[in-house]
Amino acid sequence: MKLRLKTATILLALPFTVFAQQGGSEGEPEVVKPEEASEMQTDEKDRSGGSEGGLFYSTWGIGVQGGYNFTNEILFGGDVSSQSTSSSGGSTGTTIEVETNIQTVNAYARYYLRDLEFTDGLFGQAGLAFRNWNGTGTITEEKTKAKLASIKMNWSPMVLVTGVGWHKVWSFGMSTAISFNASIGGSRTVEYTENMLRFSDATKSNLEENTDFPTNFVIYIGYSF
Amino acid sequence: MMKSYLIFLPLIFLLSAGCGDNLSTSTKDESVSVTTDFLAGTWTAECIDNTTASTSTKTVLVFSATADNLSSTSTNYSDLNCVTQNFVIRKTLNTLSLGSKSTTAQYQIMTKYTAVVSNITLEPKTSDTATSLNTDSYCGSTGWSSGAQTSIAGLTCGSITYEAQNAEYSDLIQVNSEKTFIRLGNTTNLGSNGYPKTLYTEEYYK
Repeated sequence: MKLRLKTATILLALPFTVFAQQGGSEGEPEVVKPEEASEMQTDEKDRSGGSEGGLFYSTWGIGVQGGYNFTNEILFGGDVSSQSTSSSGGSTGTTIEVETNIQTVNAYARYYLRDLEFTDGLFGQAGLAFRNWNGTGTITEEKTKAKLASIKMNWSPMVLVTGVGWHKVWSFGMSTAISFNASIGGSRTVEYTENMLRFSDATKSNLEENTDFPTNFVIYIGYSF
Repeated sequence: MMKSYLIFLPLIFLLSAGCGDNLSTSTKDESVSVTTDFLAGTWTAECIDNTTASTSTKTVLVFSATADNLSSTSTNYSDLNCVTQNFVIRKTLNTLSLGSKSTTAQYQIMTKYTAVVSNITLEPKTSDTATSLNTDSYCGSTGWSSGAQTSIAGLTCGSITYEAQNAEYSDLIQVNSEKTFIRLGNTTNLGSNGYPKTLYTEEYYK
């Protein structure tokens, strides 16, 4: 929750910071060195019709991403990611095994603020994520292998995803981006099954908190062509 | 220029709202409902060794056909493999009545039951054991003899005080989901409600 508040504060403050920087530059004409000017020209070229592709690491898994610049400001993109986790642990004679499988296909449209001077591409994006997310967990008794309790988790297959980010295309074609996204309109169900053990309220809330993935932080690296 | 920034406002609002997924939960109780039909018959525990004392114990529970009587026979052996008998403690309970499911402080699902103590006896199986019990005035008695059952109901023997005859007896039964074993409560560690707070670790199999 603290992270969410901090992020919201930064995001809310960001446009004002940008305005402040622009206001400063209006008063004093900026002096551009010749060697910097050539690089800036490369960065600020019109990207209409260009494409790019690459790999990314995110909260929702590792995947591939591609995009097409419909105009200089608008990009249509998509990505596919996957993440499987399994863990086992336990205490006082019990074994806990948890497994989650997260596969996501994301389609989105981006709008770039190309006219900003300090960056190649601050962007906002919105799209749909198609999810195949599920998870299971079992608690068994070590000594007898008897099933004590289990849990099953399912997420709705489609959510709206919006986000903001920053995208830099280097003069030699390398493309990097970071973005912070949030899902909206989805649902998930958690089904607890009690065999020999009841789930305490504390265990339930802890489990529900740790299996909630409302936001997705993405770090991307690719090539623009 | 200003219009470009306006597109960010709804995105920033949605991000800061931190919506995520709506959560719905359900809980299924798949714990076994203990019945008299299920209990009726003979349940045997595995041999449990006590390496410190170089002895072992094996307990057999017999529930009557209607499961309203329970006979518990716990045999102590002078070796680690349940071969040479030392002594036998027999506990018989009458008017056994199954109660509701309950949960212990460790969140284990149990079924309560109550009964009336019919008798608790101790039988030395060898003369050596009888002599040892007599030497120690075990349970305050010096009349122990091999092969003779003596009631110890209501007596304090070592660190254990046994229930008196006709005393109310409250205990717990735990059954695994596969219905292959049962466990009983540790009646030497009772809670304020009169039921055991914990369970014995040994399992009884039919």
